[in-house]
Amino acid sequence: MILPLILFALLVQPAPPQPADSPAITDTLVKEQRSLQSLELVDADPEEHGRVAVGSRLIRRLTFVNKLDREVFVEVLSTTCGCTKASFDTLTVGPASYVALTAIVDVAATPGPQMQTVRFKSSWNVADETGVCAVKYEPEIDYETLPSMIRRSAPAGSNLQLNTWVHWPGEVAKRQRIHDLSCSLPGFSHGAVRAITDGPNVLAVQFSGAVPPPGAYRGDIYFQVDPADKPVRVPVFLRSLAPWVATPGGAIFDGPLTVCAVELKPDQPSAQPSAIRLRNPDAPIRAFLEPADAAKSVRTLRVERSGELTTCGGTVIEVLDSDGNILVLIPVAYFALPREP
Amino acid sequence: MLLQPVQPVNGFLAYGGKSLLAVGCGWCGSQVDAALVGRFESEWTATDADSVNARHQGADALLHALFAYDLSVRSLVWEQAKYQPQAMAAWVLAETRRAGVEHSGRWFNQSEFPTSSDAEEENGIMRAYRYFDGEDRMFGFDLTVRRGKVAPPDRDMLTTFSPFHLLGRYVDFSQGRTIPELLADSEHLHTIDPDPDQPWPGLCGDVRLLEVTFTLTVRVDPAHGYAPRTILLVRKDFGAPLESLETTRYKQFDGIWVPTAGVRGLWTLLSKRDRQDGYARAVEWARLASDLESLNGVGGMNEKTRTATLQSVRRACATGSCTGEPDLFYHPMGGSEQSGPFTPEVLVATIVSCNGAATEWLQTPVERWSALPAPPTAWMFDLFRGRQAELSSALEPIRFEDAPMEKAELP
Repeated sequence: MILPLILFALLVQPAPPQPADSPAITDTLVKEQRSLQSLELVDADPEEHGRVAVGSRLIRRLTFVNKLDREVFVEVLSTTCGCTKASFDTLTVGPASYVALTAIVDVAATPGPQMQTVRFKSSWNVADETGVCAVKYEPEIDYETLPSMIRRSAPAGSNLQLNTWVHWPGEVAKRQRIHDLSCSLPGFSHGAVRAITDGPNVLAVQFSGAVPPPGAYRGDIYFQVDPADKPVRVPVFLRSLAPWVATPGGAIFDGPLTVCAVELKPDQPSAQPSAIRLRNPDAPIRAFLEPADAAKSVRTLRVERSGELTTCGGTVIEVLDSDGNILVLIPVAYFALPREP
Repeated sequence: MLLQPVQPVNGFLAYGGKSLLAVGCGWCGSQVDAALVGRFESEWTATDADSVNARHQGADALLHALFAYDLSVRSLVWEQAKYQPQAMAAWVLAETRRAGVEHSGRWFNQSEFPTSSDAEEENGIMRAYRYFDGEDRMFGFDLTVRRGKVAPPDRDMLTTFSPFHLLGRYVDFSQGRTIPELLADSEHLHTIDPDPDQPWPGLCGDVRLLEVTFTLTVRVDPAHGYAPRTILLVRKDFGAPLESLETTRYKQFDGIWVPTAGVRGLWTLLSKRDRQDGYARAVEWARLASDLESLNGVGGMNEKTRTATLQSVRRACATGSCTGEPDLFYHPMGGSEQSGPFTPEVLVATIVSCNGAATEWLQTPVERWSALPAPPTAWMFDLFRGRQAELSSALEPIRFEDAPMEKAELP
C-alpha cells in the first residue's frame, strides 16, 4: 500500500510534566514535520471513508516502525469524541520493531462531514513527541429532528408554542413529508407544520395551547416523517409557573416562632389575591391575607401556628384570585416542640 | 394510538394527595447539635403505633420544609471556581465561570478553562459563552476561536458542577424535577437519623430516572433553612453510588441560605473480571486519594469550610465492590493511566444575586452578544435555520410562514 503520509497529520507539542520516577527529559521538541522522529508510518488504512450509515463502525489501522536505536513508549492521549476509541497493540516498541494503532469510530447521527482525531505520544529516554491520526466520514442522514426533548417553564394561563424542528441537509423541505401530528399535553392537541422564513431546508412542527395550572406536566409530541416507518417522539416536560411568587417560598415552624410573614408579589400580570385555602384543614396552622395597599404591588400572608405544636406534619396554603385560580402555593412545615422534662 | 394519558408529574400539585408515609424515623427540632440526637431518641418512646404515625408525620414535615426551601430560591447569579484532582495527588483549577439561572428557564454562562487542544489559542485558555432563551434556542459561542452555534440547550449546565447542583436542581437529569418533587414522587419514602458523621436529618426514597431505580438520600440542614445538605444517588440494583453532592458552606441572602461551596462525587463502574488492568489502577488511585485531603491548590475557604470539605472529599473518594453485583467495582469517575480520576470536584462560589433583578446577560442577551469581542467574520451554525449564519443574523428571531406545498397539493 502506498504510504498515505499526506493523510497523516503530525503535530509535535511540548510534553506535559512527567512523574518523578520518569526519565529526565532533556529536550522537548517543538516543531512540525511530516513524520515523527521516533516512528515512521509504514502502512495505513484510508483516512477518508466517504458517506457511511449511521450506527456503523469505522476502523482505521496504522502501522509504524521505530526508527530510533532505543526503545520507545507509545500511548493514546485523547480522542475528539466519546464515539472514538483508540489503542496501540503494544506499549513498548523496540528498535526497528513495528507497532499498530487502531482507531475505532462509531458513527453517530451528526449531519455533515465529520472528522475524529486521535492524539498519541511516543516517548523515549530523552524526549517525547505527539502525533495525530484522523478518520473522516459523512454520516448518511436523510433528516434530523431537534430537540430530542423539550423542557419548558411558562406562566400558568399563558399561550405557549412548543416547537420541534426537522432539518433535511442540502434539501428543500416539503410540508407533506410530515404528517400524523399529535401532542398528549392537555390543551396542546392542535399542531401545524410551518416553514422557516430564511431556512429553506427546515420545517417546524408547532403545537400551541394555554399553559395549565401551576405544576409539573409531561407528555409527548409525535409526528411521522416520510419515508421513515416509525413516528418521531419528542418527550415534553412542562413546568407551569405560578403567577405570583412568595418570599420565603414557604413557612416552617420548628421553634418558638408562632407567626411567619410571607411576602407575595406578582411575577407576571395577573389578578390580585382574594382568598386562601388550606389543603389540610386539620393542620394546626392558620393563615390571613393582609389587606391590599393600593400603593404597593406586594401582599403579605400571615401564617400562624395555633397553640403548642405536639405533632409534626405539613400542609399547603393555596392563594387564589376571585375566580378561584391558584396564584401561588405556600408549603408549610411544622415540627413538634420538645416536651418539657 | 399515539395519544397518551397525561397526568401532572407527582410533584408539587400531586403530592398533597399522595401518601408519603412509610416506616422510618421521625425527627423534630431545629438545631443541629449533640442534643438533637438525644432529644430525637427520647422523643419517640411512645407505643409502636404512635411511633410509626409520628415518624410518618416527621417525613411529611421534612418534605414540606424542603419544598419551602426549594421554592425560596428562584433565580441565582454567581461566579465560581471548580477544582478537580490531578493524579489523585493535588487539585487543579479546572474552570472558572460566571453563570445565572432564572426560574423562567433562561440561563447563561461564561467560562474559562485550560485546554490541551492542539489549537494554540490564547495561551491554552478556552473561553466560551452560552445563553439559553428559555424557549428553543441556545446560543453558544467560543470566544477563543470565534465560532458558535445556535442549537437546543446542551448539557453544559447539567454537567458542570455549580451551586444549582447543590440545590439538587440537576439530580433528575431526565425530567428536571426538583429534589422535593422527586422525593414526593418516590417509593418507600422514610426519614433517616442524624449520625455523628452527618448530623442532619434526612429523607430517603426510591426514584425512577430514565427507567432505572435509584435510592435518593437527602439530608437537610435545619440551621440553614432546611436546605439540602447532602444528596446521594445510589443505583439500587447494583448498590453502586452514582452521584453525591454535599454543601460545605452557605451564605444568606435576604433570609435565604444559598450554597457557596461544596463537593461533588461521581462514580463509574468496571468489571473486576473483564477489566483487571483498570481494576488494579482504580485500587491504586484509591490508595492515593488520601493525598487529596490536604486540599493543596484549593483556595477561598476558611478553616471551618476546609474541614467540612475534607470530610466530604473523603466520602466522595469511596471505592468498593457493588453490593448487588460483586464483580462490579465502583470508583471515582474518569481517569487515564496518567491523570487519574477527574472526580471528586470541589466548588467555591460567590453569589452575585439571589432572586434579584436578572443581570444584564439575562435581560438583554442580544445587546450583550453584540458586544462580544467577535470580528465581523465570526460565524455561527444555526441549526434552527439549517445553515451557517453571521453572528448578527443568527441572533434575529425566527420567523415562521406557511410551509411550501408540492404542486399536486396546491388547490
